[in-house]
Amino acid sequence: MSSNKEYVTLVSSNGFKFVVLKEVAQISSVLQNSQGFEEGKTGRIELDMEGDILECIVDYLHYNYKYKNLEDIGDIPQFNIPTHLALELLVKADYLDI
Amino acid sequence: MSNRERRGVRGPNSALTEFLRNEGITDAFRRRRELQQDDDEVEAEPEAEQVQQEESEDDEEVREMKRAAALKRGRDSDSEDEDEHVPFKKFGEIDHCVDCGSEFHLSVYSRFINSKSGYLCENCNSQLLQRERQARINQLQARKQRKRIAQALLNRTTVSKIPKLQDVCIREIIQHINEVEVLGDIGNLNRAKISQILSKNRQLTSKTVDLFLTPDLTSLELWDCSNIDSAGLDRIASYCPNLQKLTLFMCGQLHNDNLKYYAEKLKKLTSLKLNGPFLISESAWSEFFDIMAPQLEEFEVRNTHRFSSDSLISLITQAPKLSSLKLSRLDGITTSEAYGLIPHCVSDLAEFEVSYTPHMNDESISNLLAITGPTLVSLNLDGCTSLTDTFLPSLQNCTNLTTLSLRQVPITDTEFAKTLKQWNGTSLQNVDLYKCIDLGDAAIYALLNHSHSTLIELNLNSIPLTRDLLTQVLTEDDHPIKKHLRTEEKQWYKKVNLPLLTYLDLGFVRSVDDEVVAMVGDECKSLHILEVYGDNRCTIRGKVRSGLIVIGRLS
Repeated sequence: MSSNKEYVTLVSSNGFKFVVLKEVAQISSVLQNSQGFEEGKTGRIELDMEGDILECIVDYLHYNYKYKNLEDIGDIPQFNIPTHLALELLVKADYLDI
Repeated sequence: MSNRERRGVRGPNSALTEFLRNEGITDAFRRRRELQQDDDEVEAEPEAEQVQQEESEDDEEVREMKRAAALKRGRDSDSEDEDEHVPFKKFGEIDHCVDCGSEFHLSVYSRFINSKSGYLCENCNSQLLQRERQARINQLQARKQRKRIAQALLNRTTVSKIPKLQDVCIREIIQHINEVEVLGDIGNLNRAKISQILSKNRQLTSKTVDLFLTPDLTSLELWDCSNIDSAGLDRIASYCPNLQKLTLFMCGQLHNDNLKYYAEKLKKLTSLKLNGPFLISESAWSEFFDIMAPQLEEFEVRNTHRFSSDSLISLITQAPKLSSLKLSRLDGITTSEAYGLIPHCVSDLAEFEVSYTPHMNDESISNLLAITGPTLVSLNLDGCTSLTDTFLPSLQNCTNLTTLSLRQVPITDTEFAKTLKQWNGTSLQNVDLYKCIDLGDAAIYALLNHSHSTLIELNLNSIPLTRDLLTQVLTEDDHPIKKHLRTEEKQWYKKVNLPLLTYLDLGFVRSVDDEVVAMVGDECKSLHILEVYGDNRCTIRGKVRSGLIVIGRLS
């Protein structure tokens, strides 16, 4: 189970750091694939996005992680995002494939 | 007592009355209390009371009291008058809760429980209220969930999938589409998705359409142009000069000038698909084809009465590169001659559709298939009611056909079966025989044997199939019942595997029942959607394997 407890640090372009479970980060196939490169050794992934965008993305990754096993039961709450970030977030979500 | 009152029609109530009723404080309750007080304190003046009672005979209070009394008597027939056994308590007195038995002070807010003929203490009452509220919430939620499932079923999806973050963003953008100025680098797939959702929500307007126009665009599909005005449609050509493929559906505002402008500006256009361009006149079509037809590879027009025989002739005589021709619901073509000319002008068609016209005849389609049959991949003759069995043998020229749609074409069972048996070299993937009501077991059995390994979508709506066919083609050949049939030399059908079938419409095939649905689900492993509208033996009780969406069952 030790591998499940590993953490990675996501760093925004303006220096905000988010420490998340590796398992959570791996929901994004792009973040998962980056583990094979230098990011895998340092456990630090620098992303070209602002802190507030990255915060939304980290929120979503946790939302997905929390509810993905409850899909059959239904009753999943809606995930909401701030309206002013929607467009930029769509670009980044497209990039991260989530 | 007036008629109105007897029917139980009540006038408007004040909020207080409503509140008191909810709390269980009714007129009957008050009356009981009053009577009690009268008995205790004012023993005198029985006559006065009598008079008062007569006066208020018509009052609702009295009637309700009487009804309550009658009810009570009906329930406890052994006790003649319960009031004598359980004397009423006054407000402020100490009573015992009928639920938990603890002592409490009776107040106006104490609730009377009819079934237990006693009052609840405050704790029990608040618990009961809580329970009732929760039950109401649960009921609402269940209703919402049922609605969601039904909605998803009609949209042919399943509920409760975690949405992708991209979809969440798109939902948010759609909600505020009028405030968006530029979409930016969101990827072509997302751009198309937003355009499709906007079309579906009917939000695609002259303003929002600009979001999708970029100079490097080579292909544009707008499925609902009804809110895009003429100037907006012109902007498509001026902003996107490199367009090669243009699809405009519901383009009722597309004007002659727009089409002329497209012919001038869109030098690279090879594919044009229009639905509902009813403002384009005959002469405008001819002018457009004079310029554009030589470079057109795909042309599709639907739902316009101004596209005449001359327009069609002017297209086909000048378009040597044409590989896809789709003409649907063109009421302007009133003779069969123009359709008869198609085989003489075009060759090497890959897609051909002439649908919903009575002017397509057997001879034209036979000639066409003789010429272009080997290259044809998709053939659609929906609603060509003049066609008969005569054209069926020419289908054998189509050695590469994968999609065949013959909705409402009056072909007969035996002839279609014969054609399929002799038809070599192709395996059909999508077959639509919606409402071909003259077809039956023989033709469908022949079809399944002809293309069973490749069939992906199959529509057998309204074909009078027997239950024997459906069950036997889905049962192993060594099943005892089938062996029995064979030894008795009765009609039997061998097992057919349909490994790729993903969509099947058995609507209005009356022989389909729960058992058939279960068998179809078990035997067709890839089947995703099964439609059974109008099959009144398909009920909600039938077993359906997970992953299969069955639409149209009776509940």
